[in-house]
Amino acid sequence: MADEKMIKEAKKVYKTLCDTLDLIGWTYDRHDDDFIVTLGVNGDDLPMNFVLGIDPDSQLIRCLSRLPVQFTAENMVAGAIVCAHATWRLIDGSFDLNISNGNVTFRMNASYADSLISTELIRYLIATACNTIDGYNDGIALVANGSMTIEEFMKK
Amino acid sequence: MPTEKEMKQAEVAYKNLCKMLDNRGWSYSKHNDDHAITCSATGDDLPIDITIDIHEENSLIIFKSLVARMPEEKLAEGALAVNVLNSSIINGVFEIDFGNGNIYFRLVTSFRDSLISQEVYDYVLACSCVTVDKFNDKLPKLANGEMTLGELYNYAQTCWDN
Repeated sequence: MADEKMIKEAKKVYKTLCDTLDLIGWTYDRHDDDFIVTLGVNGDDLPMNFVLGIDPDSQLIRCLSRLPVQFTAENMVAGAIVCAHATWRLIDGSFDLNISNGNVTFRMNASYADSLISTELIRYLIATACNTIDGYNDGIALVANGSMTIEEFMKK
Repeated sequence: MPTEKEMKQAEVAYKNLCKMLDNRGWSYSKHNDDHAITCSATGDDLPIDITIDIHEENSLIIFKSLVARMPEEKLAEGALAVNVLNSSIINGVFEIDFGNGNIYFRLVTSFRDSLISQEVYDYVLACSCVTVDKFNDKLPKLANGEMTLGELYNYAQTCWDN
């Protein structure tokens, strides 16, 4: 449970997050009570939806994006392989397949405990998440609907 | 190539990382040219071999630890396993190298243009060690057939409850 100091700190980082999005000039929805913003971005092919939040308990800036794909029970193994392969190729972030429902979520964090976080760090987080998702979401979607094989995905 | 500013920031991050380990009284090997350290921690059961690398160009602190190795015939199971674990944790990532079956835990945080406290370095080390310790006995069991994927799934859903 976050104490008063942690809540105060989360508010400060949340302000930096909103300031950064304002600087970039992006439209977003604020959920101030939860220190969360939601936004949509148009990628090269598929749209991307983001939840960017400040978690006072874990003192993390969290970036989550559910991909518009779903793996069925029949192609869950293929989903696990392509998500694991994509994650292996990343320096930061991961594509997580929830094997109980076939959903894929991109996840990336930064820790801010007692730190002074710059708008540049937030920019890095957002830019890396956008570029990474945009680079893989079409391939993952094609594997999910059976239009691409695992081998083709890995060669991509 | 990292810029001069990025190199300076990396140098500061590396010094702070070493300071944190010194403050904790840990023994570690410094690899100054690469801005990396290697060390070993004692978990509840198995030792944890750790590499912490300061990535100059991307201004990242990268914790990495080898957790298990899946045999070739179990790589698909390994892929399912890392996804099961990644869906159950808030921070950090289990990743599998399909080339050799190695499963690593990786936790990354950025210090780009920011003043990062000692707490963050402490957090990266502590969170990583706790997460690795939860699973570094389970993944080898999955690899050698002593544990099923279903058992790992059930464990991953409940292991953070206490």
